[in-house]
Amino acid sequence: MNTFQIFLISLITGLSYLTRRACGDMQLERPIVLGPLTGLILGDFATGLQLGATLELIFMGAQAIGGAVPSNVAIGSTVGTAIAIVSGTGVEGGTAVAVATAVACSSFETLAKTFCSFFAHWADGYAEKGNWRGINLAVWMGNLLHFLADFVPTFLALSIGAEALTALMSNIPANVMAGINGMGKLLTALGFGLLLNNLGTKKLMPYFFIGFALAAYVPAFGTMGIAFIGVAYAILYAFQHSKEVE
Amino acid sequence: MANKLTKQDITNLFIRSNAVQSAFSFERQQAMGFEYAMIPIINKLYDKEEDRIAAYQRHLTYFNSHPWTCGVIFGIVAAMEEKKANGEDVSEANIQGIKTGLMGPLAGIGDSFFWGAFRPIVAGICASLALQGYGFAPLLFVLIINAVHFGLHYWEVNKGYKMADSFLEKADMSSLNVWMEAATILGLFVVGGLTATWLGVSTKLSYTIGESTTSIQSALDGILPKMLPLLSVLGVFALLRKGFSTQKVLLIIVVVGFILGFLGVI
Repeated sequence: MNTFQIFLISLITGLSYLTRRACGDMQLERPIVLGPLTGLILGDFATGLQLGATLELIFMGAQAIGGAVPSNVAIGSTVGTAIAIVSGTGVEGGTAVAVATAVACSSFETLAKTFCSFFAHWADGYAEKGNWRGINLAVWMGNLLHFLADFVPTFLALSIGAEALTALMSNIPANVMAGINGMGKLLTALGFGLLLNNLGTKKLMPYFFIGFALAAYVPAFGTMGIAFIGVAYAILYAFQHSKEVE
Repeated sequence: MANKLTKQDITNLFIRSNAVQSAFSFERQQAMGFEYAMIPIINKLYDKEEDRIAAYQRHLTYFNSHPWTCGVIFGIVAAMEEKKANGEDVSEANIQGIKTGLMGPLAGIGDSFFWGAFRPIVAGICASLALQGYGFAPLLFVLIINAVHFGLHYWEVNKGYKMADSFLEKADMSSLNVWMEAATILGLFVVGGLTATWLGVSTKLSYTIGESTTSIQSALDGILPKMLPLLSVLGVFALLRKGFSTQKVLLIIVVVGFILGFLGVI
């Protein structure tokens, strides 16, 4: 990896996160997008694609809801893919690095969200004076901070940590690797658990179990099949209850 | 004098309201983004400096909804500001009331429908295609997601602006709540399905009696297929409901996952 490639990878990490802030949540920070892009930058699209898809499934439920930060999927994806390609360890090694990095970097987004209070108060001051250009400036300074919260850690991890990580990858004991993969498997549960916590009410929880039982006993349904039945249930519910309202 | 919003102003509102999560802070959440979208509207509508200042200040207050489903709120609020600027009886409390009243239910619909069902399903399909080596899968993901995302958001902002009158007259929150519950049902349904489909937690343990070795996983499958994924998700859910923070649960998962993987249990 040369410095220009590291810069590009850090840039797409930061920009993908910036689009979440300033361009509507476009979902560009997902592994299935960042993995292949990192692969392109490093000249190994195939590995990037495989790793991106694998990570997408691991981080399927990982989504900041109401400001809570479960893990930094963007940094994990790009750093994990880059290390996998450079060290030649492929998908399994890359997954381990990505999971560990995503967990380790979760605090950067939290940090940005904490410090952005400062910009909100700055904007308050401008609002009081009627200076709308000042408010715009405060908004974009806040966005810049969010960009840096993803750009800088990626840049540092790849420029300072790449060699160490690559060396570590080739010497890592099999059971430590298995440990990190165990982490990855349970992380998927965190994403779904967060969604469940957000959606679940006592009255509606049974729908979770119906969806689970259908997919568990009849794997052929797939998620699309479940979605079909779910949509039908939801519409039925809406029609029945909007009648009651009338 | 009457200041009217044009089609162009509403299109501009659509573009700028995409920045709703700008400068996101724990303290105000999406307040800065809401303000950012409203600035041109405020500047156009209010001639007096003091009115503009009051409007800047009222949209810098706490706001938190879903980036994909909040468009309606921008449309309605723009229509309310237009009425207020033209001397109609719209109070600051009316505007705040609409914002805070709608942001919760719309976030509920967005979280359950888009984060709980739509995004994971599209991601699952595209990831499967990618694993089979189809290089267009990432592009397909971005296109499907954003055709729906931007198309919906554009429709919402315009619809919100146009229907503001009838909505404010009736203030019919009950039908919105029904649709929120319907979206929650779909979300729960799909999260249940995803738990059984994509969660890779299984045990490698086995026990040997005499000559025969039995894998514990196949024994568990006999009781309930995908029992371990279900228990993991319910475990996380229970911890969160007990009041554990996301960061704490993350830490627990990292430690427990590592130990179980290290020992070869999962």
